[in-house]
Amino acid sequence: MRDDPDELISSLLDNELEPSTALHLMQRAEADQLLQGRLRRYQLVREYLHGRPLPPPRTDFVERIALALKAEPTILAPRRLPGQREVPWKMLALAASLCAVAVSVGYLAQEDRSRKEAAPQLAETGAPTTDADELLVHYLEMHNDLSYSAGTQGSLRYARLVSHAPQ
Amino acid sequence: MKHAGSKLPQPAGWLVVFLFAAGAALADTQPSSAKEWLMAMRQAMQNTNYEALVAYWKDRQVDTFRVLHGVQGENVLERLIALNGPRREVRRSRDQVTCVFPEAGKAVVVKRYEASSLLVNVPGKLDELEPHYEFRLGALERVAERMAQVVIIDARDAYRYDRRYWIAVDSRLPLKYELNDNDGTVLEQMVLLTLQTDKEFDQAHLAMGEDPAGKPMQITEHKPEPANRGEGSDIHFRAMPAGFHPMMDMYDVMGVDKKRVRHVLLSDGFSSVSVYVAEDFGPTSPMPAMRKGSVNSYTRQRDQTLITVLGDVPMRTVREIAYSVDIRRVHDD
Repeated sequence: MRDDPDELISSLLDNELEPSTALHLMQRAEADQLLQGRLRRYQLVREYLHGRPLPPPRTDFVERIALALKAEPTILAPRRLPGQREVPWKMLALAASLCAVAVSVGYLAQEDRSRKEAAPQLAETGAPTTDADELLVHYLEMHNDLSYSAGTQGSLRYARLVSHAPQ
Repeated sequence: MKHAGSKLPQPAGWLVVFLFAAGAALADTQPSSAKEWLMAMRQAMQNTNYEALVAYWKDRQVDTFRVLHGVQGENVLERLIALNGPRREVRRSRDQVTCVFPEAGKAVVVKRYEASSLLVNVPGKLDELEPHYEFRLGALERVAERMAQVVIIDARDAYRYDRRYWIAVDSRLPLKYELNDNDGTVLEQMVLLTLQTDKEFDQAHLAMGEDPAGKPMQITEHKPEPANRGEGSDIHFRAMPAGFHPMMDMYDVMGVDKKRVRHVLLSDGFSSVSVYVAEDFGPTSPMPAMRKGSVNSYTRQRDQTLITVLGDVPMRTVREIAYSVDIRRVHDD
């Protein structure tokens, strides 16, 4: 059985998880903020890999860090005593790599956002959520009716849509 | 003296003459270009009696229909019966279409402006479409156990989609159809699973106005009202994508408050696009661009007027049409 959260999330997003395990994972994510964040990150990476537009990143990243630092109590660091161990270089290298990754992800997201702003906002329609969405569904039905009546559309498209929207 | 011209052909010579004549006769009847094949298909869809099982795929969903098409004198009767999902049926006579929903006990009658009905849309004047579409013949392929001639219609610009038709060599009916986007992705597909031609339909097969379940039906009539010039607002189009022109201009009512919406239907022959103008629309923030399968829509709001353009065309087409709409109010002087 797969217990590794990363593997579980990956399987969930690939639709390969058993329904009961998927449900259990979602319940865990509801209570576990870390797991929730991880799920979201996986989803973003996946969307990016599939070339789907990403939601705009939060632009207040720097401000949030500044606020978080401000909220932290000021701790006066004790002077390093002779013979005390220095910060290992490996740790610094790792921190630097993480910073680089963070900057790259930020850059990619920012680049995607600027691309998205240049292009129109695009959304797949699902169930109507607003008056405008509902209007769009009516419009699609009317388009189908008139296109068929005017002979600019075949009968199958018409039969499909009327069949899904009994008056 | 023997004249050269009086010499009678030998048996082998007769055979050559016969084969030549047969070949010429066949060549006479066989369409020779993509456009001729399309016109032959258009005629066959109107004049042939046929019954077919059709699989129709669009928006990641497959529907299957039984299609009965019968010609009785000057009248053409047609039934499309859905074989999956809730029971429903579309029946068409010369000038009206009836959509029957037996489970809901309802039927909707719609007036039909174009007398012909086609499984797939093929415009009558193909030469006029040359500036926007390229027509060419593809290979011969086998579909539904029949030989089919492939006809390829490629859009010459990015404002419309490409099409492929597989036309039966014997009956000239469409055996398969595909609508592809400019990257070659299939957006819509129709395939005939079975086909019987020259069927004799009796009246019961194509009976109109009867509920298949024998229950009384609640019949409503859907009747859009033609828009008259000089009334309300005049709608003009500035710099539309080439080839699109207005086909119909109607008012339709919708929603519980029976709001009147102006509906202009545009077409380039193959693709149709609807432009909706809803006036006195309150403040809203609709998503400007939306996509549902092959249908793209673009909405923009100007003051209290909501302009929505949608159709089976690429996003750039609906967006450019939306920005080309010019509404001029007609004042009562």
